[in-house]
Amino acid sequence: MSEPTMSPTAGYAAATMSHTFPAAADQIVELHALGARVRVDLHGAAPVLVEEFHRVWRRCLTPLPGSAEPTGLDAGRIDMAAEVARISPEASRDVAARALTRSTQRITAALIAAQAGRLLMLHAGALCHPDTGASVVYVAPGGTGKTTLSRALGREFAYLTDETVGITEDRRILPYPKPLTLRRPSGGRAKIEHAPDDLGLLAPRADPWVAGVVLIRRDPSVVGVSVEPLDPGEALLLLAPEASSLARLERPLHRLAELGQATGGFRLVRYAEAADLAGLVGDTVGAPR
Amino acid sequence: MKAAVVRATPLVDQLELEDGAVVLVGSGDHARVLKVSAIALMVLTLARDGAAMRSIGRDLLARFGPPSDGSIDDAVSALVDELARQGLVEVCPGG
Repeated sequence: MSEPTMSPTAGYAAATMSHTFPAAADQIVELHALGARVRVDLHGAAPVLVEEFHRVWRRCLTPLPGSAEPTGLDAGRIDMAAEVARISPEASRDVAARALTRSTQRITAALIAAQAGRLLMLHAGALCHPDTGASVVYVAPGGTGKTTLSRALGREFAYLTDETVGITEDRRILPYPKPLTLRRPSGGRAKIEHAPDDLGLLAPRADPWVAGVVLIRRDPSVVGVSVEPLDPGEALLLLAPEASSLARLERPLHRLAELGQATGGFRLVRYAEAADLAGLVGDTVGAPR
Repeated sequence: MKAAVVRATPLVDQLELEDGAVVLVGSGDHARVLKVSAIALMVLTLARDGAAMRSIGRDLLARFGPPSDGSIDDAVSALVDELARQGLVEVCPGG
């Protein structure tokens, strides 16, 4: 798969002055994700940065049709004003990109904090069948393949998140279709936020629900895909460290175990390349038409 | 001399399995999930409101029989030490 190209506005310093300035109200951006809404204060930010923020977060600007709780829980307000106001339109692309990435991290933290004790939240990505909402949840520690997998298969299956999967007691997923944080095509350590639309990732057309949960481990030595069913105890030991605010839930271990039981059991999946998992995802959620 | 008293740390949740249990202890970022054996689970149950080491030994002996190696007192002591290291019990030494 080729690296995504930067959008013209992602080149912050290269942006022209002919941009339409967003209205002042656009500098308080309300996002809807993970069954909650959060307001991000971008007052003082250069218009091009505000515009870029709107662009990469477009899927969260209005409640998703697939969102089970469209009105959402109030996750409060994130004040990015002090940080973004310091970034001049002439600032380097890296400075602006870092600010966007930090805002993503703060948004994620606020949403998770708001849903603590309500949702079962797994550090995971999720894709679903675009029309049925049947979803596969792939759990993995940070930096070990969730974003790559979401990007690789999100053109065939609908993208729900690459970061945190929020699951209700009745197994519905409250999507968090955040921007995907990717390294620059040119290499180096700097990362850029990419709108799911820019990567061609599909959006769900139905309420997503959990059809299967796998723990993924990328292992270049694996030929094809190795799938190992996990016994409940083993699965809980592996899943619990990847759950947010687990201890805040009522009977959290039972809730996790019941999720496994209802979805045919947790599985440990080893694979070499993300594309190798297309078959497993299709088998779990059903092949899209 | 008073006997040492073992007191189990309150668990957030426990899920019993065929060969023991998985338990969740602690809160917030410090919450941990651990797998414990059936014998360890019984110690946690017996020590929920505090129990003397001797009393735990008697109950384990009755339920599981004598240890395969060494005395029951030594076996209980080693098990309780391990549970204490894992943060699952506190031991109040006898005076």
